[in-house]
Amino acid sequence: MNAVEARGVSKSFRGRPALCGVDLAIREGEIQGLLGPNGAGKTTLIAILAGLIAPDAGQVAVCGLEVRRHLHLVQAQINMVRGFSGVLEKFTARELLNYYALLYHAPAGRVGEVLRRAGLWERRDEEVAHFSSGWRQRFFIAKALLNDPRVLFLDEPTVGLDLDAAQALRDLVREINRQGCTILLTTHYMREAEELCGPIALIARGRIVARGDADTLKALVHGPDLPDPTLEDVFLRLTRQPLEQPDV
Amino acid sequence: MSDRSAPWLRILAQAYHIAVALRRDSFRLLDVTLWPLVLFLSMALFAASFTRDPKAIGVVVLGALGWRIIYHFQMEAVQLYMDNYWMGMIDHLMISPLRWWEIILGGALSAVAKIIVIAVLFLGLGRLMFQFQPPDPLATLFGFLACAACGLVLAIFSLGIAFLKRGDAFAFIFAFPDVIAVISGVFYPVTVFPVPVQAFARLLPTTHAFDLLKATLGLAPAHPGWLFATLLPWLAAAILFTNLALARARRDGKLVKMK
Repeated sequence: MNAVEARGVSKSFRGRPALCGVDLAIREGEIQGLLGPNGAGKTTLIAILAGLIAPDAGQVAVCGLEVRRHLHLVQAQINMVRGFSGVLEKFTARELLNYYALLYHAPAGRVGEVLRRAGLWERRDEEVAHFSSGWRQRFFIAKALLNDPRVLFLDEPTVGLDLDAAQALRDLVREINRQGCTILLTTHYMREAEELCGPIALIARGRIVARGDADTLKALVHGPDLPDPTLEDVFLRLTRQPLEQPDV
Repeated sequence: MSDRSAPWLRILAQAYHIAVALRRDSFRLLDVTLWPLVLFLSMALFAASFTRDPKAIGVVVLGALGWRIIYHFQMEAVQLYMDNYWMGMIDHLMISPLRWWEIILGGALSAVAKIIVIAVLFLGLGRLMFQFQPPDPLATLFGFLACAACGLVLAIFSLGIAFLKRGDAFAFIFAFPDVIAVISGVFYPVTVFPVPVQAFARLLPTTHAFDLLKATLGLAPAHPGWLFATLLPWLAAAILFTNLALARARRDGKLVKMK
């Protein structure tokens, strides 16, 4: 069963196309990568899947429910972590998580559980605004676990993190996925995508230009000039193709 | 996990959010201490310096409290939304199963708590300093409830404006209750205004809410029928506007501050 399904999704902002007929299906339990240059449409696609932006055309279903018609039912089963997310000042980690726990009707004891899982228990009574980027992302992971989501959107979650913090976050993501959560991950780090994701979709100028696992994608650009391509080679070559070329 | 499981928990969440912000932010505490006291004392002492007529003091006490009720019922929910917007957390709020009316009702819960504090201040000082007591407590309470209902209608409109105008909305929203209170004749009859303004004022439920308070002092006729006749259409318009604003913000990508 597909946990996420987008068909023919298009979106323009002030006449400028952001997404053009995007199709994307993510099977339950997968970590789907979504790679693309800045402005390619990754965040717009996630916002549409999460019901934050309405598409101009196309259909979107998450957890088997059409997002437009069952918005709040869908939102009860999803969550999101973004890179460079701001945070409310004056709130401790525990206080902010208590707030979100009420929003998601999380069971009693859940806040303590996610604080421990994200390694934040010792810092639960510190203000999140004073956390470093790495600890802040741990906080957002904890927040995202409160409703035990079936689908988790990770939009550049490791951007700006040091190596240790990024690795710790990737470990957390793997653990969350092992427990059955479907994940859509956008990142600019090819190694991260290769390390975490099964299928990977490349998006450029609002279109999915290629999809498949890392090896399948590499095979697409393999040739005499690139005998041993990396995912970065794939990314650079396929996302720079002119729009006239058919999708791979 | 159903989204219908507990709207009341999501409403409570908003009140919790506001309570934590209030506890941690001394500036917010001024909202229930210094600012209302400045309003109350400046108006009441001004009135008392001219007359010891209990009606003059009474209209200041009840009018100032009614004004604060409108302000808090309007502002609490919108402040919460704007805080999340300014701090870059609005996407985390809007991706949750929270509905807009739950933000409004959560704001109303904390408004009740703040108003209790302010009411104790105003009524206590009114009694201690000016020997004023509301002559008809039940009718006065009804007047305050009418002010609260007007504040809720304003809150709904304001949230719709916040959905549409985002960061630019706040200055406009902040001015709302004060302008409305002045036009609605908070301490005086609306007959002091030119006829066109009077006509507009009579279309506002706030005018009739303040009249209910003044009526307890014998300073205006009480027209509960007019209150409901104006309140209900404004409420319906506010709900319609905010639903449309939310749909438009979602369509235009303005609901959240994605990068």
